[in-house]
Amino acid sequence: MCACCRYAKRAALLAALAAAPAAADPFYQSGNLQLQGFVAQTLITTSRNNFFGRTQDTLGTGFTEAGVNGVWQPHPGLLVAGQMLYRRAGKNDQRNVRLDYLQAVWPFWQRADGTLELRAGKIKIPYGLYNETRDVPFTRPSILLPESIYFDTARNFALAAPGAGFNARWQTALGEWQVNLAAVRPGQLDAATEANFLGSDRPGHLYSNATYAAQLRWSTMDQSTLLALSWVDARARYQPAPGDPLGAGKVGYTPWVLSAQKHLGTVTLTTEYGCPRIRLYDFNLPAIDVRTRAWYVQGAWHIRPRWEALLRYDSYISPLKNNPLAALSGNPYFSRYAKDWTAGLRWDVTPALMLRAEFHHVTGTIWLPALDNPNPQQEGRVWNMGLLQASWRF
Amino acid sequence: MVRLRPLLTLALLVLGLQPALAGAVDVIVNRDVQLPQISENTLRAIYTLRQTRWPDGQPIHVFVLADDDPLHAEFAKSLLGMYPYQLRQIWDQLTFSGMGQAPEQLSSQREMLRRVAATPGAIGYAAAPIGNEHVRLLPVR
Repeated sequence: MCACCRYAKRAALLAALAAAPAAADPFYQSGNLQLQGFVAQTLITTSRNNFFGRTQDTLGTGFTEAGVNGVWQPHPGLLVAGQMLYRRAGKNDQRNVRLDYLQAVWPFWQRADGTLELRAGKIKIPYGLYNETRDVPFTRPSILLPESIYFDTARNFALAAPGAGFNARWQTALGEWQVNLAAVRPGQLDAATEANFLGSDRPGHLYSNATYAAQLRWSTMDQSTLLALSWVDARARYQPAPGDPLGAGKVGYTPWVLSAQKHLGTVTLTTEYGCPRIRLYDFNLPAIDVRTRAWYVQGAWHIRPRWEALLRYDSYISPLKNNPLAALSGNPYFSRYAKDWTAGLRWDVTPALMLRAEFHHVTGTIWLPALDNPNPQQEGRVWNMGLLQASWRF
Repeated sequence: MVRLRPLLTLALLVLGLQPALAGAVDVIVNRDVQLPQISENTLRAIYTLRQTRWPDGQPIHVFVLADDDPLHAEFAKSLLGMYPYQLRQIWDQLTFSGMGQAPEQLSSQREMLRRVAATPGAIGYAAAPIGNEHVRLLPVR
C-alpha cells in the first residue's frame, strides 16, 4: 500500500471515530454484564534511533493498540472478567491478538470497612501504579509510560500469566490499606524479553516457571494521597538450541518500586522510584549481578475538564547495558542510561475520543528496543521523539 | 486592574479552589435500602467501587451522570471531595483490570430519579430539593 493511501485510510478512521457516539460508558450494559473497548493509533517520529518500528526521520505508524473487555457478575459474590488485546509495537511486539487476562474474582469476605478476595485464571501482576492497565491508553498519564519503571522491552516478564492472587483491603482511621499478592507461571517469554536480557533474539528459548508479586498500598480516604510499595520476583531459565553459542543459564529479575501520588485540586503529582536487580548466571559466562536505578517525577495539570498538560523527568541508570551480556561486547557507554524529559498534552475531544501529543528529549539509549535497533554502534546518544495519538473508547 | 482577574482565576484553578457551583446535591436511594444515613467515607467507598454491597448484603447498584455534567461535578466535589477526572481514573483502572464494574451512566436527572426508584439497591444523586416520593433521600453525615 502506498504511503498516501495509508494516511488516507487513517484519516478516514479518525473521521469515523470523531463521528461515533460520544460517551465514556460501556457499549453494552445489562444487569450483570458490561462490555467496553478501545482503539488507539500512535504516530511516532524520532531524530535518531528507532522506537516501535522505523521512526528515524520518518513518521512511523507501528504502534497500534485495541482491546475489548468484559466484566460479568453472575452472582454478587463472583466476578468474571477478561480482555482480548491487539497490540503491535514495532518489532518489539508482533504477537497481534492475544488474551490479555481472564480471571475469576471471589470476594469471600466483605464488610463496610474491608474486603478479602481471591482471584484465579490468567491474572495481571500488580506492580507500580500503572502495570495492570498499561495497555489501555485512557488509564495512562501519557502516550508512553515512563520507560524507566515500565520499560517496554521487559514487559512480558511481569505483565499477566496463569496463576492465583489474594487481595485484602481495609479502612482504618489512618486511611485505606491494601495488600495484593500474586503467584503466576508465565511460561515461554517473547523475543523482546530475550533481547532485553540476552542481547538479541537467541536461537534457544527463555522459560519462566514462577513469578511472585506483592504490593502494599495506602491512601487517604479521599484518595488524594497514595503510597505504594511493589515487589516482583521473576525467574527464567534459558534452554539453548543445538549449536547455540550460549549455554543453558538462568535469569533473575527482581524489581521493586516505591510509588507516591498526590492530587492537589487540578494538579496531580506522581513519582516512582525503583531498584531492579538483574542476575544472569551459567550461560558458560561469568555471572552478572547488577542493580539498576530507575525513577521519575511527573506533574499533570487538568487545565480544563477536557484538557490536561504533563511534564515529566525520567531517569534510568544501569551499571551495565540493559542487556548485560551485550555489555561485554563493548557497546557505547550511553547505552547504560537514559534521561528523558517529556512534555505532553491531552485533549478529550468528546468523552469517548482522546487526542494526545507528546515530545521526548532523551539522552542515552538504555530502553531503546533492541529489535528495532539491531546495531548498538549506530545508536545516537541525544535524540528527540515526537508522538501523536488518537484513542477512542466504546 | 481588569487584567488581574484572569490571573486570579488561573491561580485559583491551579490551586483547585474554583468556587463551587451554585445549588446543593443530595444522595438518593431506592426505597428498599434500609440505611438511615451514610457517612462520607462509605459514600466514597461505594463511588470508588470498593464497597459493592449494603450492610444487609444486598448488592449496590451505582448510578452516575456524565463526567462533564455540572451536577456530577458538584456531587463529586461537595460530597466525595474528589474531581470527576479522579473518579474516572479509578473506574477505568478497576474495570480495565477486571476488578470491578463501572457505575451505570445516565443521561439526565429525570432518568436518574426514575432508575433509582425502579432498581433495587440503587444509589444516585439529584439536585436539592428532591420532590419525588418514589426515591428516598439518604442524609450524608
